[in-house]
Amino acid sequence: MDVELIIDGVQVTAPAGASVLDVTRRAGRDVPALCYHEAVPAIASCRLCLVEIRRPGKDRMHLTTSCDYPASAGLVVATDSERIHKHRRMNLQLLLRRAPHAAVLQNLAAELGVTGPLFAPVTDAALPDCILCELCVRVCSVLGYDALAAIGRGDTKRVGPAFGQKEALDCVGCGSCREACPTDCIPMVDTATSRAIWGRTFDLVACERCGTPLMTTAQRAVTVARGGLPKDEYAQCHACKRAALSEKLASGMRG
Amino acid sequence: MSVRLQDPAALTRYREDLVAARDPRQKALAVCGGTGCRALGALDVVAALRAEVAAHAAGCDVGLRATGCQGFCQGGPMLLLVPEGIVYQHVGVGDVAEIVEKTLLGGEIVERLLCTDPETDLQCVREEEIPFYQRQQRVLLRDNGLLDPTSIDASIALGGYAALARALEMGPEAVLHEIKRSGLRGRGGAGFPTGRKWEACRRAQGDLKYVICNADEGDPGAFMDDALLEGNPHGVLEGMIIGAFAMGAREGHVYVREEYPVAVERITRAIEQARGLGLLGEAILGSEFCFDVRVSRGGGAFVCGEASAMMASLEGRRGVPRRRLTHLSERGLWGRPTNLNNVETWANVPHIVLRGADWFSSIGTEGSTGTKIFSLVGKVVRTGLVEVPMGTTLREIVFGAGGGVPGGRAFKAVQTGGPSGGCLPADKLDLPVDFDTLAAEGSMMGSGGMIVMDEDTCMVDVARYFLRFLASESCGNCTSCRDGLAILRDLLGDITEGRGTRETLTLVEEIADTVEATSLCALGTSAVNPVLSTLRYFRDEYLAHVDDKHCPAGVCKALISFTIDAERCNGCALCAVHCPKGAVVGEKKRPHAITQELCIKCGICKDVCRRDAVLVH
Repeated sequence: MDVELIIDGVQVTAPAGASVLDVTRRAGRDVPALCYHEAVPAIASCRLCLVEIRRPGKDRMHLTTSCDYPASAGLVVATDSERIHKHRRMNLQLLLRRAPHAAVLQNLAAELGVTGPLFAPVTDAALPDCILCELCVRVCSVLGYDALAAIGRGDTKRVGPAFGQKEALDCVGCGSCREACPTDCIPMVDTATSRAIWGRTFDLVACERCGTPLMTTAQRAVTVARGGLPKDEYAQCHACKRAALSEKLASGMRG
Repeated sequence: MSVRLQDPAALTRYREDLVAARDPRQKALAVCGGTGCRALGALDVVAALRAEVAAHAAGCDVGLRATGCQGFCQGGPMLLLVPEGIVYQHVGVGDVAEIVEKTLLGGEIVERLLCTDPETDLQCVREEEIPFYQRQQRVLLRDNGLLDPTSIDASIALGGYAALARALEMGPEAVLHEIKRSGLRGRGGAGFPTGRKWEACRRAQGDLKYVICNADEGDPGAFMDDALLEGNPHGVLEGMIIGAFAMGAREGHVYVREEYPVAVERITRAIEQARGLGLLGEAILGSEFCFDVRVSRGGGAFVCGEASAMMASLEGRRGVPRRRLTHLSERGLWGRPTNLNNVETWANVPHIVLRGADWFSSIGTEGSTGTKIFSLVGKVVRTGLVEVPMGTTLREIVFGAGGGVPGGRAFKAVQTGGPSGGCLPADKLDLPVDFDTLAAEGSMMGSGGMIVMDEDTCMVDVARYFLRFLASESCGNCTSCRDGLAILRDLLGDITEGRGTRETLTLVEEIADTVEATSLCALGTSAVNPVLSTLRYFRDEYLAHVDDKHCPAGVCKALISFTIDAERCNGCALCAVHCPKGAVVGEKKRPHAITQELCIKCGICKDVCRRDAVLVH
């Protein structure tokens, strides 16, 4: 079901229950968010996607995060107010303290007019430049591995291998966590034949045709088993598979 | 247990048999077995009494039991002798022989063990003569001294489960109506009307509904819920059963923190006993109503007292709050209609059902009915649990029941509402304590913690203490709460250590503003209350720290120094003997002095000086 809501004075239509962040972005408004990804459940951790909302029948605008707020009929949303910017700047300052080197934060700081850091950077973080958004944890979870977790609480909270282990025991080395990380802070080292991540080292499978590394043996084993796929499903890379198929078709035509 | 009570009449007969079998003149020794008294050796006293009674009063029929917290923690270990109602305080193993010989067998009073009313200097023999109890109206704590909390028979003999039988006769709608009419509001802190919450859960659609008892009491210095679960577990359980009946719930959980091992043990045993008698489980008291309860132990995270975090924890996930888009009454535990009430709220329910909504609402104020238990701690003469009608003034609680500030010191503030509450100064003492008044003054009633502070308490240091607690108990989800509180904690540290400036204060206020405005759950949005309320009422103390690098209360070590007043010092050398750093020097019988370079400002010299010669600057 679609609902009508008002974003910065403009009426828009959106599916009921869609996140207000998605709806405002689709309406062309620029609302920053670091911990949000459409593919995983929102946890509203970074507190940057602030908007002001007013529900029908209420008379005051209310400051809230938009990523975990669902669109509903008659909702009035404002994305640009001094109240929003003031608190967003402070939360950005708090994040800059954790991830002073992250380009994404520096760009945001420039956009929001944040000049210079307010706080001394954290120097003893378990994972430097990590903003604890848990995107890595959530991505790993929806992929069905659950190899990572948030550990501890308060300002000593960290993310890493589940149960605080040194190695991520259920990790298959797929690297999706690193892909999802907004500050690019997860160390992963690839050589021609191996991948090291989260305290583990995995063998890489190479394309039998061109030799490009495809994925880790662990990921291949899990994916093939889960999908009931043929054992040679990942023998070649996409490009080589396509090339092989074209060759086969071409030779068939010729024949 | 072989007996299963088939109907309400069977419960009545069971009670009558219990009462008939008991001699009302039978002597009993009730030693307070609350956490505080246990720490002071109450269990050793019980063991010594048992041995002494066996050796010297074998012919005498004496009951001996460790009860739940009797509330008067200042006097611990406490001993109550029934039926006379004699109260002895600070009972040690060395007093046991005399108590058995003189009081139990001889009927004499051991005056040395009596409490004294500091105002009249008169000794108090019975509970009702002790000022601490006189100022209270004990409804929920009434039975704590009388009950053996490990026995369901003891509970039933005192009227336990009579309210359940009555509720089954009334029917769910009538019970709900009575709770609504009573005006009962949630005792966990938010003060939401219990009847409305129950009604929403009763009306909600669902194949299975849950009721949950929130026993994750985590406020520093608060132990009301612990006392109720330890002292009268059947009272809490009965409230839950009645609530489940009114809402149509089939399953219940008691979420209790692991740090309360005695409470866990008592409620677990109470559940087994109630199940054995047919008061819990299938066909309760022969009716069609089925309901069972299980105990879930929390891992000690303060945030799990928050409803959505508790649901996550109960479901086996990390205890982190999430935005609630629908009420728990519609989608709670496992997505089903759920009702969550605090221990003290549940404990009120049987009393309301049995005595009626009119009786309940006649206690307290119009907007806040009934009594409330406060745990009164800090710089106060009589610490312990104080149960008073809602609307009682802070002054009556702190100075009436609590006896005021000890040692002739001046009262400075009282912190209400736990770590996220606020500090109220002396000119707020005549405020009535209810849900709405305290919130209007920048504090809150919370679950009932009350910490008294005197002139020797530094309010900046107090704010820093609570910030330290909350910063480490933040679940770490929201940037604002996790990092904002940590920075606030550090900035307050700067102020107490003499590195603060006016700019620091401005920054503190800016950060507090964002933490309050942008955090997800109530832990974050209320966590800045201790800073904001002390800034509001004790700003001059902050200014003294930042402008003059001076701590008016003489607490902040970096800002104080100790010296010895040569005129008062008689050279007894007591301070020199006790100083851990050898910083005190001087000849015998001559005034001593403190070597500032060696002094670590521990204050031991000041504590041991008998002539008040050690000065703090």
